[in-house]
Amino acid sequence: MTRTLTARLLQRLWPILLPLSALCGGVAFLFVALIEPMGGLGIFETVLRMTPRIGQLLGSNEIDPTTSAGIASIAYVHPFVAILMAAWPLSVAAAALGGDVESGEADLLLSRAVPRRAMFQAAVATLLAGALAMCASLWLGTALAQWISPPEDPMPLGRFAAAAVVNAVLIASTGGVLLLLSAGSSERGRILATGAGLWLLNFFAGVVAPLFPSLAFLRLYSLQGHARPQAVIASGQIPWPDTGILLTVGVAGLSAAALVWSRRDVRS
Amino acid sequence: MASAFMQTSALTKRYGTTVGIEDLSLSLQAGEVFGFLGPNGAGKTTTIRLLLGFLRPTSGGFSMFGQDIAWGDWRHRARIGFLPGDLRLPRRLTGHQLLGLLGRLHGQINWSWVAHLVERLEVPLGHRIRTLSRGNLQKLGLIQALMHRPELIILDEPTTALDPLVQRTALEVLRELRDQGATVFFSSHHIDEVEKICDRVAFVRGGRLVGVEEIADLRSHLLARVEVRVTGEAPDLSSVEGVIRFEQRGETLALMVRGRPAPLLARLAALPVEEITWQAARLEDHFFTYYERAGEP
Repeated sequence: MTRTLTARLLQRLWPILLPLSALCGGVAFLFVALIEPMGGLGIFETVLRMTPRIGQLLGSNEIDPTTSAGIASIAYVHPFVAILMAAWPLSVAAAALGGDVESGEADLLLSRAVPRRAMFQAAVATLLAGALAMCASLWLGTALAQWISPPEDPMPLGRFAAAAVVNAVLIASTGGVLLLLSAGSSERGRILATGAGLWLLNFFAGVVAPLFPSLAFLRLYSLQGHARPQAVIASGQIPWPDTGILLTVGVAGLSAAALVWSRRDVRS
Repeated sequence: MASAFMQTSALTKRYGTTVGIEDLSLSLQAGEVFGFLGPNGAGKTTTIRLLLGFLRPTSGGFSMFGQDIAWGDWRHRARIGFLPGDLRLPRRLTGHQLLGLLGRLHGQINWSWVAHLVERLEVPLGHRIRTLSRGNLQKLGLIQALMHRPELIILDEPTTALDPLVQRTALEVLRELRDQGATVFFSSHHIDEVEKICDRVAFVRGGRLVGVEEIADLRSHLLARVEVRVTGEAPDLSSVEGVIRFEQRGETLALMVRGRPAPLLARLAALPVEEITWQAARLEDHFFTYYERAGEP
């Protein structure tokens, strides 16, 4: 039953998932493929030295951004990719649970022998499937670019795969919080607006605030701030304290969402 | 509580201080068509959503198929077919795709029965749902409610959007299912359709049950609408035994009469009556009589 419901949700959301995944892969591809046409690594070095804040924004604290791996890793934290990675959990949250209540699909399903938990499991499975698809595409973009246009210094693709997994954990974690919002709501518009607002705050605290020393502490309160794919690429090690926080928030969000969804009234 | 086919016991749902339904105790027997009649906002949809587990009761409970149903139980819903009042189906799917999806959720479906329903109700299944007319949408809604041959059919305003011909077919299908043993819970604010199909009817208003009557009993209660035209000044007949409503419009008297007609006829015999019409009351009249008895206008 959960499989049927997951297939149904994916069927509704593939027109969103497909372009999001393609864009993730495309961005990752471009960051490697454009190194040579833009004059090699030197140009990046010059730009980043002239604008240290941009360098910091793109991860100069975690990895040397003047190496091929450093340049390629920018795709994993770039604000555009961050927006893509937020768009997926937002889409799932707006379509499933609360979205199902608004569309009437909850009435159609829950009037049958469909337990609420099956609808919830389908939402989680869809969220995770999309997260994996996007992050696999991100890695494939990097790998494909390295194969077509090998950079001066070869990149450790295994580490990029681990970095993609960290990004998938970030998407799942964001999805946990947004599904909690969805589980208690009955309006897609409200889920989208509140979810987007929360994500912007999260992005500001995790990415923009650390550029200013007096606000750097805000990073600790942001999911984005705990996602460190570039650290994985640089060291080959997953930063477990940060990734653990992402996992904990994700699991807590999903558990709370399951509880809210199982107990709430589904009004017409 | 678990002896009738379906039984509610002091079922109550409140939204803060607002009453959805209060202290509802009903009992349905297997194989009957039970009308649930009330104006908009009476608590009909709230009751149905409680029975389907969409809403959590504030207090009270219910049983179905001989079993007490607790909050969160869902397996019993395999035996229920439901047509919501504000039917919303996935707009991008075709009728075929929708029924296929629901069939996969149900498991075992007798597709020749579904084909029979589609043929009788004449639904174009190949079109996307967003392109269907309101009537076709409602027919598709009826098919999805009946496709698994449920033992209990819960219908919320089922024939609102249907043209009279299809409405007749839909009611015929429901009667056939009743004859084959299905029980129907039929919510409506249209008295005519309840009168056509139901065996018993419950009246609700303001979240409270006003009364439950056999349709046959209601009809035999001899509630009648009488209109009398007399020559000259019309007398006040409101005190005559059996007259429950009296209205005087010049030379014409409009009365609602309950019980034996003899006292009124005796009184009329002494008057210069020009014209008299005597009609069996519509169910609507019984409906309003109930409200008056319940202290409502």
